Amino acid sequence: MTPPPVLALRRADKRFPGVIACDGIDFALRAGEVHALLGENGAGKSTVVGLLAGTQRPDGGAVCLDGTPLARHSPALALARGIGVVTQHSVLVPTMTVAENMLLGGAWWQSPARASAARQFRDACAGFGIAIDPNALAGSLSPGAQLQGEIIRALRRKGRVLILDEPTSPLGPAASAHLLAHLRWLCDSGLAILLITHRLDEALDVADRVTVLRRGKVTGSLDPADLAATPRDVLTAQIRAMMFGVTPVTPVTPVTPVTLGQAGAQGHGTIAGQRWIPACAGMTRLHVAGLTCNTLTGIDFSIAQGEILGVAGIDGNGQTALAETLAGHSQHSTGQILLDGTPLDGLRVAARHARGVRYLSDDRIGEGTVGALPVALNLLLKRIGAAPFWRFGMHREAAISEHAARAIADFDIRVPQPWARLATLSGGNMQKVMLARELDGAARLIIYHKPTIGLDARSADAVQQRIRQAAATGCASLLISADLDELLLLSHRIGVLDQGRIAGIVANGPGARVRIATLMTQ
Amino acid sequence: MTGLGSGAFLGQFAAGSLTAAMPLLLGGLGEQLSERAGVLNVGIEGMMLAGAYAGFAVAYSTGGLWPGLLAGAAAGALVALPMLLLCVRWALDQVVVGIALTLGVQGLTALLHHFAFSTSYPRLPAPELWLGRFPLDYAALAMCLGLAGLYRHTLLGLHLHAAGERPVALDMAGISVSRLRGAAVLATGGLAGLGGAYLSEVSAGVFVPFMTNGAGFICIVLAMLARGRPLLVLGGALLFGVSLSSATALQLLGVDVPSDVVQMLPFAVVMLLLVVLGGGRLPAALGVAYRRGDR
Amino acid sequence: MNRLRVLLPVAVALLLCSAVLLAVGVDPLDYYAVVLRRGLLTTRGLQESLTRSAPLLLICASLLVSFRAGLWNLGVDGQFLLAAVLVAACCPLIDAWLGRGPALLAGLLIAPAAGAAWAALPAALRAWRGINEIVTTLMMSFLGVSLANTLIKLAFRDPDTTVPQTLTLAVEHRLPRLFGGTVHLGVPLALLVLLAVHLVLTRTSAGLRLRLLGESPRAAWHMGLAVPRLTATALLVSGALAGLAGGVDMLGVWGTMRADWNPAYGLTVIPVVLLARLNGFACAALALLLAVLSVGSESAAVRLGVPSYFNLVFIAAVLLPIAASGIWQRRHGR
Repeated sequence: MTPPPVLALRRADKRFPGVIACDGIDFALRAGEVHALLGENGAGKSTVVGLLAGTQRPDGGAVCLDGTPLARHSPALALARGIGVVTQHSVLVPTMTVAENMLLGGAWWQSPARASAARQFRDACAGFGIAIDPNALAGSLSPGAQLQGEIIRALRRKGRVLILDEPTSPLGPAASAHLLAHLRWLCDSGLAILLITHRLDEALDVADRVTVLRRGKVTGSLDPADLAATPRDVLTAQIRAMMFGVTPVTPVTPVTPVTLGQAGAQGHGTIAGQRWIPACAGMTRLHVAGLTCNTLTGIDFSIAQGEILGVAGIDGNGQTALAETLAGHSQHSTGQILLDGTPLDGLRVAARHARGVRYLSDDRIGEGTVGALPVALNLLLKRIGAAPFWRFGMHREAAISEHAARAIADFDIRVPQPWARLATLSGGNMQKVMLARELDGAARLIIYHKPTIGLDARSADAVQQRIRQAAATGCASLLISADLDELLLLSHRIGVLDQGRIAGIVANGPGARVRIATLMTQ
Repeated sequence: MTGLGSGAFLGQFAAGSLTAAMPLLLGGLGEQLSERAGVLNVGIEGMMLAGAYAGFAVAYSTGGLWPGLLAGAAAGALVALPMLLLCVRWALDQVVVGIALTLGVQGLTALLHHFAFSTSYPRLPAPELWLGRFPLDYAALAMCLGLAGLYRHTLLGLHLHAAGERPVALDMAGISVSRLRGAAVLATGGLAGLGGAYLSEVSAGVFVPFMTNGAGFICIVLAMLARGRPLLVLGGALLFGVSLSSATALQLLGVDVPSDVVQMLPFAVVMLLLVVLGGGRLPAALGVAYRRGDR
Repeated sequence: MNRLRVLLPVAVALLLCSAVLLAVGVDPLDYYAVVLRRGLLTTRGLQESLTRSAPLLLICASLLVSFRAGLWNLGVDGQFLLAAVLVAACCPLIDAWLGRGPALLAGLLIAPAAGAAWAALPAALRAWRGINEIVTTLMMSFLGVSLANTLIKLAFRDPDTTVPQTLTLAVEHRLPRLFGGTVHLGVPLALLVLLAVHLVLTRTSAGLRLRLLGESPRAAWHMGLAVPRLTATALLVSGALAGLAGGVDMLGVWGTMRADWNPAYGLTVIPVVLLARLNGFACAALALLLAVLSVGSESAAVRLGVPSYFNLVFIAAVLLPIAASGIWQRRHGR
């Protein structure tokens, strides 16, 4: 007889106002297994994490530990029972050092042993093959380093279960691969691991068992035998079908031909099963020369009309500074930015917006949208006061509604009505709202900063399609992304940003992946 | 007339300053504790006033200052109790509840005073001193150092810091945010009540309606400026104490300046310091209620 | 359901207060009857309540602007008093020199200017130095209260009075009374200003900018708003409206300002504006209620011997249950 699973949900229900996040979910984690949990945005994955971690209480059903239902689960009990959780958003205290963060949770009268915590942390980092300064303030670390710190903290407690919610999102490709390999090794030592990810390939690479959620229900699961016996492409198709409840969709929809220059005539090639768009040769739209500010040094590049220039690089190498310097949020100290031959230097955000510069932020909730405002107004936040939506400063509700209705239809935003609060939307739909706002007719240069972060495959497809369409109308696009596949899928050329410098720009095509990887790891 | 430079005068002046500073010190240390844990305790004015009334009433009826001080602390904590329930446990708006409590206590104490003491206006005898000061003064100074050590050298200090900056981090580390914040709010109530009782029993010797007269709000400001450093609260409280007692000192010296002018000084100094030095940042989660699993 | 949400807290408040009244030996029903009659149901009482509401309405407007922008202007009392003292000092002089019209007009200009001036330092510090406005507005408020008293005692004192106070604007030279009663022009003016502020905040691009700033300063920055300028403007306008409240109270009711006079409206109005969820109409209704309660309780003080302080107990007893009803609302949907 097999032992009962270490941690399980039994017919768990969880409702939030207006949403059933979990609907009778059965789910079990076993020792020595990596269990991947997959699903679209809003499928209920994070709620499952919340229930297992004790931050959410089930409305029905139970959380079971070693086969016995837990009467009152809480984060404290989860810790006491050896359940380590690393959530999607960092839960380090940004104003404390990493070492102090490691100490949280001890008996209150104790004196914080900062030095020994720092030493332990440093050792743990070494065992993990990374280097993070334990005496640095947690808030000063990159998101990837914060996440690694949290994983180390979760492991430090020597538990039996490790739950990781989207751990690879903030990590670069190398760090992700490293983490996954480490997970494999950990689970061989008897740990039960729950891995939540958007990346199907990752899940299939590392998981012993896969469960798929859709709209709060388990729509399918694959046990180790299934995973071993079925070829990868069949598995992928099966899982996609479970995730979206339809027959598998073609992962990449056809590219709208680039009509400018000679690009249209050349058509598209396919390399290693991946479509790519040949470089186009329109007029130069954006020219950046010697751009230097606090975090950037001597950035040179130009983008032609209709061209998409990708920017690869590990997070924290100047991506945000590059985007914000181009969009006008911060000013450069030396160098020049020319848009269609006109300098943008010294102009602020609003003035650059008026000249056709658009910036899609990577921080959807923090700055890209305002949850408390209706969708219709979120669509116009960069044009407050502009005609025809305001006249003499007064709202013109009809015009605003009409604009919103058009954007909602054009961008397939799922929202009950245009005046619903934005906070009620899922991440994918929020992203579409942001896209709709930036891709108005007057855009000439669009900066996309991680446009598909945290989106499920289908939403990401839709967003990528939009990026291509916008480029086809002649916009110059700068695509900053941590996802190399996305960059290879969309860009004409790809630059690598490393410590605030452009390490090199590679034309997309055969061998690009290898050359970019080389530039990134130099 | 006493000379300005005479030792007796200076000693009296210093003593007066310290006496005037004590309620602010106690309240400020309390408010600092709450703010450290992420609760903007706007009700502190009410807690001090409740302490002032209860302290006076008990001291008057029992004839002992110490039972009065104890009662003052208890009354402050009692006023903190609804704050704990409504703001910490049920996540209501901290400003609304704090101001409502202050208004209620102002009304209630004025009413009670009207029916109990307004005809007789009794005074308490001067307190017995120990080494020239009221014993609580030494305790308060020790507490100042003790709190500084607590913030820096215990895990409780780290936990309070986390509760104010990123409560979810503390929750995920297995420490109940609401219990910690609740304890901090109660302790604030106790300290503020003690400060209020000191005001009515030791500093003034009488209870007058609305006698705290904004002292609670000064405590809020002191705590915000001092953030995690109790010694800065002491410094700020002394600044206010000196200016309060110099109003009386000037009158003794026969200088004809309205006390209002002198009372403006500490506020002006604080503003000047802010202009010159700039203010630091406040805890990120200050004033934000924490509810586990909010989405 | 919704009606229950309003009535239940009021019922709880009445019960609580009844207990207190019984404890001090007053029949609660008598008390409530007097408050209601003298505050609302007699012509004189109603007029007095309306008059009392004028400064409250303007302070509501002031706080609406600042709270909407996510800024805590806790210094309305200082702004109010300084504006009042300057108006009380200047207007009788202008009245004697140029006549009633110019005096009143000057008063209505001096008051907002004084209020805005007193908010300027906190506004600038917040906008360009990032210094928390709770601290600075509170400091400036205390400073303003003392400064107002100092000004009366040292600079603007009417030499002919024994208690320190400013010159007096003659009754017939104050704001015109309406319909032969005691309600002055400042009351409709205040209501109009409050509703205009509400309109601007909810229906215009300027209002949306403030709201964007209040909801998320980072988003406002991302969208390209000039955040520092907007922050400063919001606090200045808020100060100006608080100042206007002081001016209207002087020009309409008092005509002179005595030293140590401080009605401390700020403390009662802040929770009202928050409970009204920054809705101008709800603010107006609650401000009127406050005025009725304060006028009624003053009458009750004379008639039943319950000090008017009891009013504060009553306000707290209403505020707390209304705030607490938020819990109930959160549990049951939305």
